[in-house]
Amino acid sequence: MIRLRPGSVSPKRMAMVQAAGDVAEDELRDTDAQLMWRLRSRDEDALGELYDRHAALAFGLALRMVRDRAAAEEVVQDAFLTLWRQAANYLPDRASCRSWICTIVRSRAIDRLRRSASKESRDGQLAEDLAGLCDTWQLADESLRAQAVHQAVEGLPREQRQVLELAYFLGLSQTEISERTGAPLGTVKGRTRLALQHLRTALFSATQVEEVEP
Amino acid sequence: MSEDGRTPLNCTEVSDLLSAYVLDSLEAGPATQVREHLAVCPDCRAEAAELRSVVAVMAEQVTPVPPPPELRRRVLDAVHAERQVPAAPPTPRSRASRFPWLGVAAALLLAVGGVGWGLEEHLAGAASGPAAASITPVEQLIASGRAQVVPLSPVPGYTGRAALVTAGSRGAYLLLTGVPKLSGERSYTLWFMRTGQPLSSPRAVVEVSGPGAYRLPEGPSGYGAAAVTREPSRSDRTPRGPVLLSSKL
Repeated sequence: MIRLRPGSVSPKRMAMVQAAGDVAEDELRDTDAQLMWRLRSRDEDALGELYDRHAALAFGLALRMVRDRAAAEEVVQDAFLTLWRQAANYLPDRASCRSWICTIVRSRAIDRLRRSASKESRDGQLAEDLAGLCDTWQLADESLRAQAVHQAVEGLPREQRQVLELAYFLGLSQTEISERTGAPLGTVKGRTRLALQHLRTALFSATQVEEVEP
Repeated sequence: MSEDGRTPLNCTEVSDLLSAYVLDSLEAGPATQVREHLAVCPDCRAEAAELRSVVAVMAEQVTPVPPPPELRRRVLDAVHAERQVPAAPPTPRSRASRFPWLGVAAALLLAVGGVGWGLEEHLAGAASGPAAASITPVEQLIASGRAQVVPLSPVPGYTGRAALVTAGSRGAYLLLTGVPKLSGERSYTLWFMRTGQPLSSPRAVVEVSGPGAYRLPEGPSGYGAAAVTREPSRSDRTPRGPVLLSSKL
């Protein structure tokens, strides 16, 4: 079994994150927050600015998930429309605008991948995801963050990385992952749990994972 | 065992499923069980928030791809068309703006002959509650105008407030504000009643420890009344504490 216990953030990582935050990301975050605030006032120019800033990541994510340019364009359009509608619920002290957009894009992409799911239930899931999102990476510089995520995911055991990517990018359920990989359902659930715990440890260094014999 | 044959999950079981849940990869049945547990367990909610923050940065693996230039115009045109629908006026950033459902809820409550909730009282309860984070989905439900809000009337002199919020397939919630957080085994318990008698099935009894928004196993339809009591210990199947709030349904 895995037991999590409190640990300490590496001083080096903290210094890097704080330095990046001091010079660039805070300014960017504030500007994003201001744009979101203007969005609440139904300022279409603010949406245009947010689009200019984040559309490439949104389109890249949508394209990787739905693997069709026309479908990805629809996903991005739907996502920014959702951002417009949901702006009143955005709390800048809880999550970055960038994470919000990515969460919305992924939800809308899963809508397309799971056409059998009712739109209403997916809307409810998105609302819960956005409300529960607490993005502690707001202070990190974008390039630092991307690099760290790459390294952390690459550092996962192959089986864990596989289930994580099937769930995240293809929107597969645990049962579907089990069928696709041939691994028993219980094994898939265990790998999913371990993958996120290892990622959390690698990314945030706020907890230490200790393997304990059952 | 619940009425639909499912046993409520404990924290260990939820912990095993939480990663798949936040990835939206859990099947509908277990996902519902996890959601129900999160509604009443602050510790597991905190764990879910941490895991969601990990999921949120997964997108950073993606290589940005410039979308076709015309997509920008299509997005702005769609928003412009949407804008023809009247929107709520913006409010200044304040504690109140973080909980816009409060104003809507207050208006709804007044509209249905409610008990005159004070906005500040709501804010005090909502902001300090252990489940304050879970209020946002409820605020969205109410703001959507598709939620039905049933206030529970307090007994004379009681300052706490509660309401049942029902929004079809999006679930039903208990909102509890203006009440102190309870320690130990004590709980605020919501009972559903038929023919004047509180029911003891797990789906008809909801135990919480303080102010917040809590997802209910099922909506209030089919019951004759609801009441909130303050119970000296959890897992009692009959009410022993005083009735604080109640309403016919």
